[in-house]
Amino acid sequence: MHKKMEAILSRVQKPARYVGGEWGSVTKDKASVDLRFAFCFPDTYEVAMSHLGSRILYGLLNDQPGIWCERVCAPWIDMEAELRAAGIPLYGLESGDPLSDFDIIAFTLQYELSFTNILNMLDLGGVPVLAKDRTELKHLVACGGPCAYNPEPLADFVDVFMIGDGEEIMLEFTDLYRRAKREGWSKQAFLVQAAQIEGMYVPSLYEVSYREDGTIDRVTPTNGAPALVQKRIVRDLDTMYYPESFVVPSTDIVFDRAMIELFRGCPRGCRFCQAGHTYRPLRTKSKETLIRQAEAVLKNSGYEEISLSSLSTSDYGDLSGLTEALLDYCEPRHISLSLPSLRADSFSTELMQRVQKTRKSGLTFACEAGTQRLRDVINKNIREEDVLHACEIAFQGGWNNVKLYFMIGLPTETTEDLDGIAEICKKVAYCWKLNTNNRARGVRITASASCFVPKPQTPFQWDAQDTLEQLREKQAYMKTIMKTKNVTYNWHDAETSVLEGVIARGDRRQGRAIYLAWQRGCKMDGWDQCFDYDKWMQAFADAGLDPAFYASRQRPLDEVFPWDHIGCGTRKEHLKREWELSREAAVTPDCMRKCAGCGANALLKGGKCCV
Amino acid sequence: MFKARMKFAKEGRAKYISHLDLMHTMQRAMARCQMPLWFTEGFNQHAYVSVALPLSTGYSGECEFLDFNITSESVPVNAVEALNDVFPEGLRAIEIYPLEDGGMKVGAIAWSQYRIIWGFEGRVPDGFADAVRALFARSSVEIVKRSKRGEKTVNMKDLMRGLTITETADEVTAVVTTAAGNDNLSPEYLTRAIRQYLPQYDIPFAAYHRMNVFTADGTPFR
Repeated sequence: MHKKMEAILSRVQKPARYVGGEWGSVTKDKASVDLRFAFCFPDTYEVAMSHLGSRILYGLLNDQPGIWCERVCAPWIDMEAELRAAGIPLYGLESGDPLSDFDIIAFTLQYELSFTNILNMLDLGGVPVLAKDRTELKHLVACGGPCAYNPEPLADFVDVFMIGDGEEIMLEFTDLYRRAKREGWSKQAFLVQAAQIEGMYVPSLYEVSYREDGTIDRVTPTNGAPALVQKRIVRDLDTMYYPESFVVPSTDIVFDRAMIELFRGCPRGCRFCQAGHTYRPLRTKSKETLIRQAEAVLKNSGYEEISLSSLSTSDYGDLSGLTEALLDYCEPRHISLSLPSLRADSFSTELMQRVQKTRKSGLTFACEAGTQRLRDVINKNIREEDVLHACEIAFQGGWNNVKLYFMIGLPTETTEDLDGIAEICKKVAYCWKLNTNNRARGVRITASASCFVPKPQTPFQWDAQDTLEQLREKQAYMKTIMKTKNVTYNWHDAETSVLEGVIARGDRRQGRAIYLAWQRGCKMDGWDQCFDYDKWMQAFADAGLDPAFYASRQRPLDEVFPWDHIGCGTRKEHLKREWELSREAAVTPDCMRKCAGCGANALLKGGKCCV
Repeated sequence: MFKARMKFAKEGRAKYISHLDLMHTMQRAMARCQMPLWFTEGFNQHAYVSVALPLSTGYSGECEFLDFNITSESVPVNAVEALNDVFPEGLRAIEIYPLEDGGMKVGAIAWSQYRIIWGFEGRVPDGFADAVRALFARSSVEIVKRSKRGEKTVNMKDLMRGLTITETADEVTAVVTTAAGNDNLSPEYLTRAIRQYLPQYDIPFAAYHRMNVFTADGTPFR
């Protein structure tokens, strides 16, 4: 490390996140590899290092002898200013080499409000921000992750998108790139070939034409690119690559623990949920694999906590058998086990007591909406009785810390639905009074309401998002009715949700607005202290775009969407049917009870789901 | 169960690990090499580890001490090698030994020896090393020292001893022993004193490294 960098590190907050060298980080000899891969996370180190998908892909890539994959995170504001002032480019944490030394620069897209960080990181790394300004094969910018299901707002900046499970597509992509590099292909020749890999989307090979009303007329593939880019999936999670060890940061991160992934996909079909529709079909890991992987990762990382990761933990087939076996390993080693994403309707005394054996943390239940009618609209098949029953068990078991999650601004929402939120909270508080065996200790009930953002590839992709004014009015109303003693009410400013809504369903014309916003200093937009709503609105105006066109417009059912040529497995007809059912407040049973015919099973051999 | 002490070094990239983070990092490394750590019995069970005289974040050191309790009858064989195999870059175990009768008390530490490196953009400015020597040759060098109890003016010469200064083309190195414990003197005050009394010199880089720790009578702490 040179002196200049040491001087900078002595001035910035939390310098440990900028130096690398952690246990489990991989260092290779540059001369021994033919592909240098920068795995970039467009947010801070603490967020980046918590992300399971990045941990998996980092391991997978570094398992290849010819590839050295390094991590690159977005520096916090103070560090960025120091780097720019000193003329030090953004670098890979392992080697300290500038981003411009890398062949492939890949970003994972977890959140729309991290998009400006992508531009900023490229710029800080000395790499041209616009795809058309990167004329060589080197510095190929690739993206994947949940937001790639509508890649269009980033079409100006990104060369290729990987749609679906990264484990499945990554090595085909890097193999092709290594061949292209070896044989000296042009960037264009590589892109045309890459588009032939199933699940690879090359935005520059598609022409988009628009109608007078601003909606899309048609999307035309060129150079032999496919009309529909269907996502790739790992069919068998038991044989899928899973790292035996993780990078163990030497500084505190958001999710500072080991993780195992129970299953991919979700059997529930909540209509607001993008993950629930884009990770289909459901694929499960066997108990034996999970226990083996948990032991390996705990042994190699030294973590004192492990969490079971999935979209709906209690839907894992043999959850009690699994937790029993894991606790057998964890308890004598003082390792605690956490079970996030439990559904209130499956919360049992038995399960609670098992988890309690190690450490008692808070319990969180996602009710999402305040009335049964609205919960039926969103297909959150959970009843108020389920929530109260779960709370009853929890309070009797000595818990005194319960969190309840809600959304406001859901389609068809009325004042009655908002009143319902207050009503549930009141009932939960009363339930505590009836069931606690220690009133003196008090109770902490936290109700959080976020603003609903309609997402592409979901049944609500046709719906108008509430405007900023509507959301603020509802929030103000909530504040007047959330009066129950012992209930803390949390909400979040609606501005970030509105911008998220604008970009989530954006088209490639938004590239101009994103570029302008970044040029004018927007970055770290997901962080309140950095977010500047007015600057964003001005950027949209200057790009000649109306944010309301994207966010708060009810779309006709036959509209061509910017993401229609990206396949998430779930068919558009299914989403349409689900939208229609939602207007009648009619529910669709979960996959375990009855197949809803979403079409994602076609991605599996033999078309049979894992339920 | 008995008490053990590890002497270790914290250098290179590891010098940016803060005190609290170092405790977690140590606990996890111990778990990785299956050190039989003793855990507290209470509601929130945790391993007991403690660092004597934590270094400031950004300082390096080769005379650091971590106390912990182990459940086995003796320190496992090859414990030093086992830990070094699982440490992050920059941490290095030097010695692990049992503390008979509680061992030397951390409170007995009275002096720390540091190496300070002052670095420059190009060559060391003419006369800098001599000016520094002359400054600290004075019988009194008054500085304002900040502590939890507030600010007070002290003669820092009372809190330091054995200063030697050497120079190369672009660096000046000081080795100095400063007071530790209750009325301590951070080596950073030497840099501050130079900035205050010799303002004609700009010092862009300063690095601090702890070399030794002593008790009041000059016995190396262990």
